[in-house]
Amino acid sequence: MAALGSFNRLFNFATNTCVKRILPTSTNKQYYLGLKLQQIEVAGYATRKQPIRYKLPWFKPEPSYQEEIPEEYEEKKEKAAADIINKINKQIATNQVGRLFAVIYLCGTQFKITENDVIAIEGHWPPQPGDQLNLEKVLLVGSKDFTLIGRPILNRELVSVNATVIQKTLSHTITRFRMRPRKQFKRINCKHDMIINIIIKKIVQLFLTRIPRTMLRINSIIINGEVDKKKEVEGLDRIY
Amino acid sequence: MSNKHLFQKFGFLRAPFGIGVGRYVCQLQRITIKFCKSHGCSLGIRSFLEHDLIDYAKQNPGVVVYVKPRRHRSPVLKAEYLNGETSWICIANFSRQDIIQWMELLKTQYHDGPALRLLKLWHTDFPSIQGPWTPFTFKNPSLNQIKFPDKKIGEALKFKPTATEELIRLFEEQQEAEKFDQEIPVQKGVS
Repeated sequence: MAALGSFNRLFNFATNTCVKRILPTSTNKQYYLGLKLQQIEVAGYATRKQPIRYKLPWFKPEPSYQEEIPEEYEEKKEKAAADIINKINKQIATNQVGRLFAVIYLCGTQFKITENDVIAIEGHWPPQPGDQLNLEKVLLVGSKDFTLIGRPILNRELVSVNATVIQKTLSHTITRFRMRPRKQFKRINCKHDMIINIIIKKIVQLFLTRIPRTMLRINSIIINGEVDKKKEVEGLDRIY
Repeated sequence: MSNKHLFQKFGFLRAPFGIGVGRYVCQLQRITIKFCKSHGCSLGIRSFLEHDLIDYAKQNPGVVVYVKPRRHRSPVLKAEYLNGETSWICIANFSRQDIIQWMELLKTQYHDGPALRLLKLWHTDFPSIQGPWTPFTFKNPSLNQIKFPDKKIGEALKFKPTATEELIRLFEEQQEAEKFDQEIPVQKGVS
């Protein structure tokens, strides 16, 4: 009887551990993509009891109801959109767009630029003076009559923004000065500040802090071809 | 001690001679290296002259390089640019590697960058293409026809229903619920 009891206990232990190991995979059947994104578990790593829930503002929760768009409404809207797109295409084809402006994303910052602008980029950046660049992350292109908005960027082949590097230089010496009024407290470039600065912006010769800057001249902003027309083959200029 | 208390030039981004509109032209015209043949603080520049100067001159055929020895004075780099600006660096006790980098910097810029505090990292001759924003952009043009004082526009903004409105709503809901209750037994009888 004692032997049977001990066997029972052993069996219970074995089943419990097995079930615990099996359960997390068997119970979390992944029905739809939203759940899948939330519960990514990597084999071989220690798994959390509760999966990390990423709450990103641009991932909207899946609606419980089925969306249906009324057909009549869509037709009207599509017709209006087609009219506008035709007008834009006509302007582009007859070269009547006038001066264009663009919002580009470059080295972590956005610039609103038009032809013959000069912009300065901060930080270490490899391009040398005289280099011709094609800026491809174009968030928005506008003219006097229309605006093309990318989601988040426009098609690389639709818009081409060309620029030339004209100068690489250093900024003025940047100091970090702190003062508390009526407290007899003034600090300028303490050791602690300097250490932070060195880590963030290392430069050629460091007395205080000078940030490397690269000046860019925008040469042209051109819309190539028709808007809202998808080519059959894209990216042929990018075969290496 | 804010920025306006510093005796430093400040200004906006500029580019001389429309540089970069067509072909890029190296703006550095002349570079003068002044050094001492015997003093210790010129050690780095002497080593630069020995090993790297010829290469530098060959790589930059558009730049005139002058070398000017002088006794017991600290070494100096002086660059002159196409638009007449000059940049001056004291290179006492600099190593050879440092001097290579500074020479490169003098070549890539068109004015003494650290001497000017930029107020903006952007320069444009056309600040607005679709027209600057005004309080009347994207407003209904019918607003132009209205005569003030206008009762509808002048009304106080309402963020919550008043107590009376709330009571009316509750009463209506109650009425509807009663109607619904009356309808259900009839349907049950039918089925």
